Amino acid sequence: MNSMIPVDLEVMERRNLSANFKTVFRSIFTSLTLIQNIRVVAPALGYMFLQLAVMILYLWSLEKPWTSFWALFLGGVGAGDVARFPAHLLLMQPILGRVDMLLGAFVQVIFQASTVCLVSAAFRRKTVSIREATAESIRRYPKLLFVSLLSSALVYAFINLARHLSENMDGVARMGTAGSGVLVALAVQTLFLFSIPIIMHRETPAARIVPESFRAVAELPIASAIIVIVSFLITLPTTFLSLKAAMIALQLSPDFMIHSHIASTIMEMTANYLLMAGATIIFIHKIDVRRERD
Amino acid sequence: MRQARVARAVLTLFLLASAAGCSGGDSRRMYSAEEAIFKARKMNDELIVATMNPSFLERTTAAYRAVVADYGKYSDDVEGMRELVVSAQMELAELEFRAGRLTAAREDFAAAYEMASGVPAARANALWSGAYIAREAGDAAAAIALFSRFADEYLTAGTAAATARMNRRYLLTPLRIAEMHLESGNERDAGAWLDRAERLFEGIVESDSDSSLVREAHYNLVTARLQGRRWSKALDEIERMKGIYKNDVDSPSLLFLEARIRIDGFNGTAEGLRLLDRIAADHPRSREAVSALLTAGGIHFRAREFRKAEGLYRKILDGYPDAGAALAEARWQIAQIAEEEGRWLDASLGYKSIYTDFPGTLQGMEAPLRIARHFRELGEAQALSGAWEQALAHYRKLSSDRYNTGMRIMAEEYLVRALTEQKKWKEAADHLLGLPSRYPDYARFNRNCLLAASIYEKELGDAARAAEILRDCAGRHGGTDIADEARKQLERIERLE
Repeated sequence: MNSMIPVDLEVMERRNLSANFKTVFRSIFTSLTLIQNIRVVAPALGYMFLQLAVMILYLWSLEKPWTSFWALFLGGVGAGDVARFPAHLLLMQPILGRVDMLLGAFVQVIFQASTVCLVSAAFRRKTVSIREATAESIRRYPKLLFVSLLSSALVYAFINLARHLSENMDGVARMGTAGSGVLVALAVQTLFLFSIPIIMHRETPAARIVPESFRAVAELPIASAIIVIVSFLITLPTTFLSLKAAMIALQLSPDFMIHSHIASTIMEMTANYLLMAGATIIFIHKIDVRRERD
Repeated sequence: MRQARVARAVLTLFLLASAAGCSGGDSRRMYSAEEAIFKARKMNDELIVATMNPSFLERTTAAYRAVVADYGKYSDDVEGMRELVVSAQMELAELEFRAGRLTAAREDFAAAYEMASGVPAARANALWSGAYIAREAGDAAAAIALFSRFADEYLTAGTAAATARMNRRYLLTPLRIAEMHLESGNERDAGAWLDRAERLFEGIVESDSDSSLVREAHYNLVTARLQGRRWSKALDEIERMKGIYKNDVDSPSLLFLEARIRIDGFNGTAEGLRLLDRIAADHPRSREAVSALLTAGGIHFRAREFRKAEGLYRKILDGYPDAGAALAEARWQIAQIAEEEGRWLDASLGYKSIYTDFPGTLQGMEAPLRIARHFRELGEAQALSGAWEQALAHYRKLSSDRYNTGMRIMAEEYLVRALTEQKKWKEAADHLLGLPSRYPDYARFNRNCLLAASIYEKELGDAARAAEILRDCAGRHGGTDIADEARKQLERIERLE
């Protein structure tokens, strides 16, 4: 195999932190070099444009029934509130956050699967068109939807459980509990890291996809965790910014909510691409190769 | 083919979104209006930080005017638009008032009154504020006219209760009008308005309005009768109130009012003193206890019963250590007693202790001037010079940044007084001119240029400099009554030259 990353599979690699960092660094570096072929990032860009289109739709729609539709995503808010300035802009973040959750669970998975398909092809120096990659993703949509819904439900459940538990706490205990929810959510994301590459590369039955993803993660637990954390860290600044966005918007200008949302969307796209592409490269180069060799 | 279908779907989505955006004409207009007023309000907030910077002030007023001009025409068509436009107009008028542009503020309140036909609270506020500004600007005729219109519109038997719910101070409007008539010597109209005030308050008292409004109306009724010197009727009302309000708050208040009526209305000093004594003895922790002691002390002081007076003032010093300004007043009176009895050393120590311990009070400000005047009367030049120096140092210290703005402003005013009493005219005039930039939010200092010009012209004989100050003044306060007055004075000086 004429790959960009030399094969150096050793049992010790699982425990060696620097080797794991090297693996992640190489996978990310390779993911970035693959961008030379613009088609590879097309699905990630496509999903980002879809999110921005939803934002534009939100910004343009000030009349019923649109405002009633947006109000559905947020309890205690009426259509009238959504049509008012600056509430319209201040409510954009929580409303589009919920819309993004739905899109993330039902739609994003197709774009992620297409990315996996295109990255795999580019990594193997093959040619796959965007249309073929999308068709392949749609063909496997039921399995993709299954893992997407399962992982989303778990992440949502853990984060909400932590939030609920921390409600009656103060100071460090509150931060610790809320933080532990994020850590568990990251752990869930790590466990599901290879589920999409597995669906796209193997004809695994739906019931065995999750266990196989867990097994793949178990082979390279540190590298898997690092790549998830790196993508999480990329979105961290805009996440923190969005926490204070409403306050900043009221100080500067409510239009800041739009800028904050666009910045978050771009960073999310970047993190998502690196996560999917990096996971695919690690999967092909380390796990699949090892499996074939075994 | 599939790409074409996807493209069509995306295009349809955007067309739908555009249709939603464009078809929502009223919503979009309302949204734009809310955005415009939000930006104007933000500038208004920042204006305080920008210390009323003139160009920023212009931009802010322009932003409010744009809201009114651009969206006022939709007031009848778009739900909520009238309220928004009226809010913009009211905020513009309030901003003009804060900036000391009294003429513009009056015009803007008048415009707000006209456009607020469907917004009763704003309409009432606009009319009342216009009247208030007219009074502040010294235009008593306009103030009376506007307050009268307010009373006709909002203080009739059928509307008074609703008006009181908007703002309790509106109820005092007939009393204000009567007061202005009295100030201009028109006792007949003053009496008529006091009658009207009485009828208004009696109406509320007899109505089934909420108890706090009825209680306030009772007190207002007493005030109206006191203002009209209808002493017996005031006493009758107090007797009636005593039967209704028997609690610890009202009892001393009613006793105090009764004491004032006995003293001022019936020359019943002995009865008044008895009532004041009763307040201090039976309600020592009430708000009126210290006032009762001060009033009784004042009566004894004027009767030159200095020992009795001092005894009452010492009761305040010993029994009410938290009485604040009343402590300063008690010490001031004790120092005055010492001065009256020829014990200048005690008096001067008393005055010094007042301005050291109560620097922010009126007595604390007056004390250094009092000491200086004493030496001037005695003709002791050296002591006088030292006293003036001490007074100036005291006022300069109090006008430094470590004191609150209220105290600093008062100290600045006393500093000017100290300079003028020493006939240091140039220094006084220059100090007056420097104050507006140091206290941009204190509109009264904007008139300083007129006073400074007058000092230059009349005391220093420098008409050219006076004219220069007036020209600058007219330019700086364009559109205000200050500019009008400055131009008038300038024309007069130019004619003389």
